[in-house]
Amino acid sequence: MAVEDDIATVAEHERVCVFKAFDETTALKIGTRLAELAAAKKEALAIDIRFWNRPLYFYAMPGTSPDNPEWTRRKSNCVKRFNRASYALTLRQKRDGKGFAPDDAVDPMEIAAHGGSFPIRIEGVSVVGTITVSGVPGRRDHGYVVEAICEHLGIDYGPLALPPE
Amino acid sequence: MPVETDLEIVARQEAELVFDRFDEDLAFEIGSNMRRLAKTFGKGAAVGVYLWDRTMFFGATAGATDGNRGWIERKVKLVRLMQKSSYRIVLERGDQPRVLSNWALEAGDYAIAGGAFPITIRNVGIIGAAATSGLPERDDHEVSRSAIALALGKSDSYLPLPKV
Repeated sequence: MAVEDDIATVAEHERVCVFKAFDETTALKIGTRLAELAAAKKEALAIDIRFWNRPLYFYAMPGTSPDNPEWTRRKSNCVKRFNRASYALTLRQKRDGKGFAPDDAVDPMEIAAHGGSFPIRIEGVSVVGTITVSGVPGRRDHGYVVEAICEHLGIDYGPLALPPE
Repeated sequence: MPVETDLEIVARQEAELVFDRFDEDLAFEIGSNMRRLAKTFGKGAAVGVYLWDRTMFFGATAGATDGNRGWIERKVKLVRLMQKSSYRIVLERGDQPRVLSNWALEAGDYAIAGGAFPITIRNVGIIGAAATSGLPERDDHEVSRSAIALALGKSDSYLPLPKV
């Protein structure tokens, strides 16, 4: 996996995965679909969908542990802080060969630059929340979320998928 | 000012003052409108526009203090909690104690006082609030409401509360 390629692909994910509408029912639909996608691959995810001021959907699939929602929380905080997919932060750090600097004042107990949290961006508005999963490595967590969003938006996920490692 | 009349009007204000888009420029426009409107009262006032934890605009007029900043933030937290304008919650609660102990909330984090108006996006919901502090709470509310109405291309007297 070439970091630069992933960086370009994730930027494309962020460009096309933009919503015209998003409410509690949207969250239920996307959350349920994420669980179906993971179950089909016999994988277990914790799934967290939230606006910045309130949770909209949560489901921890059988096989997850209390560690997973801790990850979704810190990954979602990463998106909240930077308004980027958390995997974009992973890639930036990988490319630069370093994590957050002390000057960034990022508390690792609160923010994790690991893939799997994706911004809910509303067209013409801004980022209003996140869709986050934890259960498989960050790059694949990210893939699950983008796949579910693409399905919801009627976008062909195939050409957008990150290539197998 | 009958509470029922105000409640009915505030509910209509919230239902009709809805954005199709919202960005930094619009936040600046709302904030600037709020500051200009608040200044006409000739008192120290502070105004702010927030996408919850993200501050989009802050302004003050001569005489405003850090206390006003605190009121704004606590009113916005009430909107964040209740998903209604803070003045509507004042009207709905009437003489009931303002923050009850069995809500298990830090009372000092919230102000049940008018002046914070939700920023609502069509087909999405409430994503933040615009708030004024420094005037009587009903006027604070109207400054925020007027500024949002103007930013939506409506008159600043769109759905006003009746003069008292």
